[in-house]
Amino acid sequence: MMKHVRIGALILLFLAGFTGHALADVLIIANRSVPVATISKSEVERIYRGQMSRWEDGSRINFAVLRGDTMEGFLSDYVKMSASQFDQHWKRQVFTGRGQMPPAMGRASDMVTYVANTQGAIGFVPEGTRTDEVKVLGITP
Amino acid sequence: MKTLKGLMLGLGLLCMAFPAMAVEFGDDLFGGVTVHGFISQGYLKSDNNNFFAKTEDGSARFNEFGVNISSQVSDQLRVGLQILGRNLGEFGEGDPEIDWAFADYRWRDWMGLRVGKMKMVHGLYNTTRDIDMLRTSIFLPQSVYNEAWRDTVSSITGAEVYGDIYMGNAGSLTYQFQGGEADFPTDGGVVATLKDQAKLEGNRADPRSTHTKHSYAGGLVWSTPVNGLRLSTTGWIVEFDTDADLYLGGSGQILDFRANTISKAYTASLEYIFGSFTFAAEYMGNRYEFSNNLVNQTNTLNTEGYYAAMGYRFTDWLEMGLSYSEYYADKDDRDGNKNKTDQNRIAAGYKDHDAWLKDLALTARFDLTPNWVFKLEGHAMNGAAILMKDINSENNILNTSENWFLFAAKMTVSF
Repeated sequence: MMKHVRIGALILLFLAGFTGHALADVLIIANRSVPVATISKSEVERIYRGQMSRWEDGSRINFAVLRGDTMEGFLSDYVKMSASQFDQHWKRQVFTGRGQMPPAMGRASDMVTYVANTQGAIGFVPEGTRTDEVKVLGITP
Repeated sequence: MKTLKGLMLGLGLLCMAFPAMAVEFGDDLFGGVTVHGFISQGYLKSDNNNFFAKTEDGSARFNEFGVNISSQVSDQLRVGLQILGRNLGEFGEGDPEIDWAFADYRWRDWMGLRVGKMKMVHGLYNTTRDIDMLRTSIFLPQSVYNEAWRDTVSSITGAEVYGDIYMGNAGSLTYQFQGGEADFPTDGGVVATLKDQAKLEGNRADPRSTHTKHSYAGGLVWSTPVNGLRLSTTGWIVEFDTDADLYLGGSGQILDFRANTISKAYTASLEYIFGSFTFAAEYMGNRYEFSNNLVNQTNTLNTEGYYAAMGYRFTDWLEMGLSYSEYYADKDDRDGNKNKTDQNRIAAGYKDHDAWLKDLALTARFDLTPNWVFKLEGHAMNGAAILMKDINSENNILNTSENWFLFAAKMTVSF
């Protein structure tokens, strides 16, 4: 019996090693003009690092951030950076002339309004936010 | 010291007066034009040896300021300009000059073109070397980011092709290739170093002008599939002439002197960001070729430098950094034997420890507010390579100490 328990515990430990923590409870939202219904995690990462600036139809990507706890979770899960690292990354772009700070929203409703009114926009909001005016993108691995 | 306190107080008041002016997300001003800037003031004190400034007496000749404006003109076109003034002891007088000014046409993510004056790609941190708040430490490791030769790699006026290439499971590759000309101000480190050399040979050189023949630089950064791990390699070739009046010691004769310098360098770099840790390590090799119009001979010199550094952010307001760096002025004479056997060098006061610089540095960075940073840094140094000879000589005889300590403090306000 003890042997089975030990084996079961080992299997659980093994599986735990391959199970990442759950993604932050955020929705990735986009302007209705955005030509995709789903987006991969790596695409979100490249957009927020400034490495991907165009949608597949060639139109410009306009991304924004939502300040606060949602941002910390989103950055950690999707961009692999802390808020301070993300801040430093964009300051480097600003002071070398290679980019500018992304627009920042204080409230989820402001983010929805910005994304709804901005061509090619993408952003993130906490789960449970009203998203009638925008697209919610599916996330692919 | 009074001056330093005054400057620090002034900067502090400036911070409190403009708390809302931090560089923050969502800073669009004046209909698409953004404006940012920074002011830094530092203080340096060493127990022995003068580190670029007269630091044995304590020096506040250590400051920078910069202002930039930029605008996303269209989906693909971006323009911007930054004015920078800097002063580090013997280098620069803080006069404002154009740091960068270029138009950036990003045709696709994998290919864009920049035209104008751009920061030169070299190692991981050269493009931001003059901007204190963008790193943990006050000084970047001198083995790879030698302040005396900053002018060689500060910027290129010309064109750059760049892009980001996504490679799926293999990560992504960022490339930059630049070509054009570099600026060598006559009050900068490179010219000061050449004047130093003339002085130690018993002559005096008054540089009239500098002229770059060409400057090329390129870099590749591989963002690997391992989260937070970046590998990079960069290289440059710079060739320039310095015209000077050479006063031959004792003879009263003045000669028209033209020195030609070719610098070819490469770096290999690694950066790993893991949670609140940042690890970085870089290696640099540099080959110089020196010739002039008076002697039909080319002298070559191979320098070598490397460092390892780590930083850890404890809280929003506290970050600590630790680094160890080694630099060798002559890769083929790491122990400085030539300084002990060459009669000219002995006469000029060189000692074996003038051939290397080993530096153990510890930094504390305090982010007092998002736009107000204060740092304290200590360097335990061994060796005296890279130091300016003029301010470390007595009666034109070089006189450096092997073991010494450098303390640095710096405050930066940004908006």
